[in-house]
Amino acid sequence: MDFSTLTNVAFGGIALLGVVLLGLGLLALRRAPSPRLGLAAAAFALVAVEGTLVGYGLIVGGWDAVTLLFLTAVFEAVALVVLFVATLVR
Amino acid sequence: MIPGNRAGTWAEALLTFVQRYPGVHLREIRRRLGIPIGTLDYHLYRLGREGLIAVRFQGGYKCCYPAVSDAEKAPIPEPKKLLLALLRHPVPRALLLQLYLDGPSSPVALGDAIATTGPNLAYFLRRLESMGVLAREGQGSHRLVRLTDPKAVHEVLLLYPPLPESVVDRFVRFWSELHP
Repeated sequence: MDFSTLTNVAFGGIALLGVVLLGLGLLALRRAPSPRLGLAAAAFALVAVEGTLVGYGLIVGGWDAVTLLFLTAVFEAVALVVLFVATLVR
Repeated sequence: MIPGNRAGTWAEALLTFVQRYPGVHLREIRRRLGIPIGTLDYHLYRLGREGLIAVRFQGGYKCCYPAVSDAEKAPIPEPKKLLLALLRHPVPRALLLQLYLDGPSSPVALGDAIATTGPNLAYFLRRLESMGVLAREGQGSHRLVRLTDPKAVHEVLLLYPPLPESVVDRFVRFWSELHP
């Protein structure tokens, strides 16, 4: 079964959602500056970068599956750690 | 030059917004309705001259009220105007709501409940006390803050809706309400 189109759409969606959430995060940070909102915005920035970078590697760059999977895992892990830290600070 | 029909639309939007959310200040109206500040000032002046909107300065803000409120069927009394303007700002609103719902409280408990910093809380407590909206009693660790007229706060909360939350407001509230 060929998942290539679905995967392209999925990473495009991740990039788009990341950018929207990053925009919201930055607006929220401007309205009520706090370390928590800063970290939340940073996590969404990571999601946006992940979607863009992996999407680029997948569609244009022709990177191999292992590299793409590794990049995805690293970005996801860092974003989750940042979000977890955001819940610990105010 | 402002085209006639657009000016009419802006004036109508402004009048409707102020009628629905009395006490709202100039910059908030600009943010919510997207009217340029100069145009907004112009329409406020015109609507004021026609006796449809009343403007007064409170705490450095230009607060707008309808000349006759739909909710009151009369001009809004001065004490309510004061409360309404305060309830349009997030920190005073949170403070007044907390004191109204939970009764007299210590400054430390208040700061925790509304999740604000000590200096910010002290600033707003001083301001609200000087306006006669709340009173501080006792000394040191036994100090309590209470509303001077909870009934007036109740009436204003019943009669006038809060400003609707934007997506950014909801985002801030979601993240602010998370507890470790």
